[in-house]
Amino acid sequence: MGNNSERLYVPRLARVTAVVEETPTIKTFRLAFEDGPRPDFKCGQFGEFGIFGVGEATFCFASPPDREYVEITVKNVGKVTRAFHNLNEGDVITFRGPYGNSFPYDDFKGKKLLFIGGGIGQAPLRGLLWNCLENRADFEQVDLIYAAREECELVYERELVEFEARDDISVTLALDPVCPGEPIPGWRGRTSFVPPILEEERPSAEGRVVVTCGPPIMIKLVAKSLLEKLDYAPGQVWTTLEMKMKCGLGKCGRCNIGSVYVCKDGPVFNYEQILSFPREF
Amino acid sequence: MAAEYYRLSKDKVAELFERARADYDVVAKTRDANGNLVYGRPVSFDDVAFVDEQPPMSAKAFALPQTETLVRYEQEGDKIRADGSEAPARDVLLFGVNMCDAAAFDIVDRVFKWDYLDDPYLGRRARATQFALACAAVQRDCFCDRISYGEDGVDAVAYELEGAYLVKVRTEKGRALVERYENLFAVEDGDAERSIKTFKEKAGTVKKEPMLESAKPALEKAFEHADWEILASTCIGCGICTYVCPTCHCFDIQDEGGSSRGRRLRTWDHCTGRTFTATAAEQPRDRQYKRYRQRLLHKFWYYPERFGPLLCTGCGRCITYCPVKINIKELVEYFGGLKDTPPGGARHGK
Amino acid sequence: MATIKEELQAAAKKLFDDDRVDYFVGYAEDYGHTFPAILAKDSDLSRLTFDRKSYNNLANFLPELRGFRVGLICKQCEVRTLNVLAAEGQIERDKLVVVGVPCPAMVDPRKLPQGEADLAALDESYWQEKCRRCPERNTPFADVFVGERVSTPTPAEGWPLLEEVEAMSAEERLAWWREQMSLCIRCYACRLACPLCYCHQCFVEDNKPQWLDKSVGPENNLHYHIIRAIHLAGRCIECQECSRVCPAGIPVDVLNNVLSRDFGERFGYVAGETAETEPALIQYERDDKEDFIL
Repeated sequence: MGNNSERLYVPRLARVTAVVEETPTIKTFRLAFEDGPRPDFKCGQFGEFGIFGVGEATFCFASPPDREYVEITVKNVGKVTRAFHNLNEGDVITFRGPYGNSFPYDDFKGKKLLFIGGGIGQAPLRGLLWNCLENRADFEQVDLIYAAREECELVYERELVEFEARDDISVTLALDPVCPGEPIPGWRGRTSFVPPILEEERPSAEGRVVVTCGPPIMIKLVAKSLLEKLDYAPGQVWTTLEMKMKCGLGKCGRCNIGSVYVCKDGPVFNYEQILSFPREF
Repeated sequence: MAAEYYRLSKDKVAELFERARADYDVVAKTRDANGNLVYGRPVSFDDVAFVDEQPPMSAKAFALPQTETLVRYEQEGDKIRADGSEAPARDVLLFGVNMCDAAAFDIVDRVFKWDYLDDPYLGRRARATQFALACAAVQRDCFCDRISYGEDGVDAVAYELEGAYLVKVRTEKGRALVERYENLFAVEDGDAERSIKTFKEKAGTVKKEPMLESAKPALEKAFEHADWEILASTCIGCGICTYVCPTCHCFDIQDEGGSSRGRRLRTWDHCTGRTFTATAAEQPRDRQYKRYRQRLLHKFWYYPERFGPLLCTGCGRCITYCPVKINIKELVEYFGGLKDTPPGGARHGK
Repeated sequence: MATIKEELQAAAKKLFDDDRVDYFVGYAEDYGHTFPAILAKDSDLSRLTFDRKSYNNLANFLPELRGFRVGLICKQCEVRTLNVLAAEGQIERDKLVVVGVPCPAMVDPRKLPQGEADLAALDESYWQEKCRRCPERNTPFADVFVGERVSTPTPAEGWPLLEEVEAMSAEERLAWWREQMSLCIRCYACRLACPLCYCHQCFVEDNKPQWLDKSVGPENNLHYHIIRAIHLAGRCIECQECSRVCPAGIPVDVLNNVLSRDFGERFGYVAGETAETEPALIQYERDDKEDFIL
């Protein structure tokens, strides 16, 4: 558990081996651990990644667990993420983790998986998505709906193109409408919010698991659509919640929703659990 | 360990203090520059206030300091060295600590041991012995009589009788304290529990119904109660209640220093503060009353749900020092269905 | 003859019955304390009071009630605050009903006798320092005045504690500040109880850049207090809420008093003196003393 069983808060160190600029405000960092094997994590878990002198922040593992490296995808929004965006190859960062729970991968086997990502919310889904594609025979169907506000906010563009070319996954890309009813010039995908796409395509609930992540408003509207209009049971809809965190391991008292600690009981939850939470996220 | 009882005569307390200083880092009540009672490190018994009066600050800082270094880092060539902080060098004796402060440690321990062992906190706890002094009278706003804890998690408690203290020992550490200075302690041969009961009756600290633990079922349904807004909006969001509280333990982690040298530290933080849950993207508790609600429910619903005891020992400091005198006990009683009227009268009619 | 409590309760009820306000902010008494309370139309008004423990500056609660029509009990302290807030464009005066009262002077909570005491009988040696300097105990500029007006004693001169600190040598003063600042726990109650610290994001909360380290210690603590005092320069109306709420009993308002005195002595300026008083730092006179420049 954790990184250093004797000194809980002393981090491991990792070196940046590659930086990919996904969008003007989003970068993916590939990390290598030189002091030992890389952390053994499961899809859905997160770590506290930091830069000495600046601070730590919570990022989910964005790469699948069977790679030698670890990848995180960071949006430049605050003090720590801005410092991450100034990192170069060879720079050293701090790491504590892996923390949190993970997607119940074994329970998803044999099901039809529908991934719904919004903007940077695609990052926690990516590891699981690759895992599923690499064990494609375990799943009956794999579909991806990936939406963003603008084209420049889509991440992992190079992989999306790869997915679109495959015949074992269907990909629907969507951008928010700018002017209602008008398509966006030069855009190859749909121009729509996600709920109307769902209500039009009507993916059947039978034998399906939905895994979604994005801005809270998107998660709520997608869930509303699935549960109220498409007959999904709340237990079929899975997501990962993001709350401000500091310790990441259940002590600093910051990330709770009611008596649920997002860093310990989550961040992966299904909607049956979420419906029982106090309305506080 | 079964309870053991001893007698310490009053004229031996000073000697106990002086001798303990050789073996322990002794923390006792004393006065600060502004005349406030405070847990400090007086070097002479003349500066010790061995009284039951409650200092404004609890004894929590001796397990969870307000600011402590978690990691020291230093660049060495192209490598960075990161070291944890040091464990305390000596055993600590909390001499004459209030019961509401002493009992708090056992309650807070539970979260610091939950799956991950918080070594800075637990290292201090392992080295600390409590020699508590029971209150002979209630403090200004306290309500320890409405919360179920007793002496169980406290190493040793002294009850003031005529000319002597009756000392109840509950743990191995408490017994070790007594054995170390055994010529100062006599084994108590009377009916100790009866003396303690009489003491508490006279002090007014006997437990009374309804106990605040019983508020939990109603609190679980009270999250959306219409009165939170009007009752808790006078909260100004400062950190006083949280910082004076013996059981509040929420903290922040911050880096100080440059990229090549500095420290990562832990500091107290307060959930009533505006920025506690605010990120660049979201703010789940966007109004002050929601932040106050979090504090109350954490103490009286969420913490007992996960760990058992209430996250409160009823010391009442949060009421005494609150700039707007919000009364957590009254609010728990109201939202917890133990009382019909909220503090200050009904706000939304009958 | 009605007591001040009864008159206040009647006045509040009338404001609701006449639909002049959505909320009434006053002081309630319960569980042995007097504390600020927000009341609505159907609230129980019987706990409304006004006594020598009515410390809080009720203007501090206006941001929470933004957009609503609010009636509030105002001492001299609150009225001066409202004058500054109005000059800074922060309130809609026509949405407020100022309920004036004859202020009996507040008892310094640190001098409050233990147990039951007849607060009304306590002489000025028990008062808060600001009350001794008060020029007018009957709330000026009130929309509604409740109770019998009282006479105002001649305001005291000078700032005793400030003078005591200034009489120290530089070394003594530095030692005094270090000692006081070592007691500060950075609860920020001083800032949050101050009605003129209304910035939605205070400099202490900034992190890009982070002006203030979060670690607690005398240097960082003094750093915070000095900057706050400077942000209040020419604005502080000396309600002493900051020092009253300090759990460590630090007289943090000494810093504010220095600046208030300087504004008074150099420029004849008193913050919030009237509804027409302009903010100090946006105006000048040609004969302002600038003797610190050349």
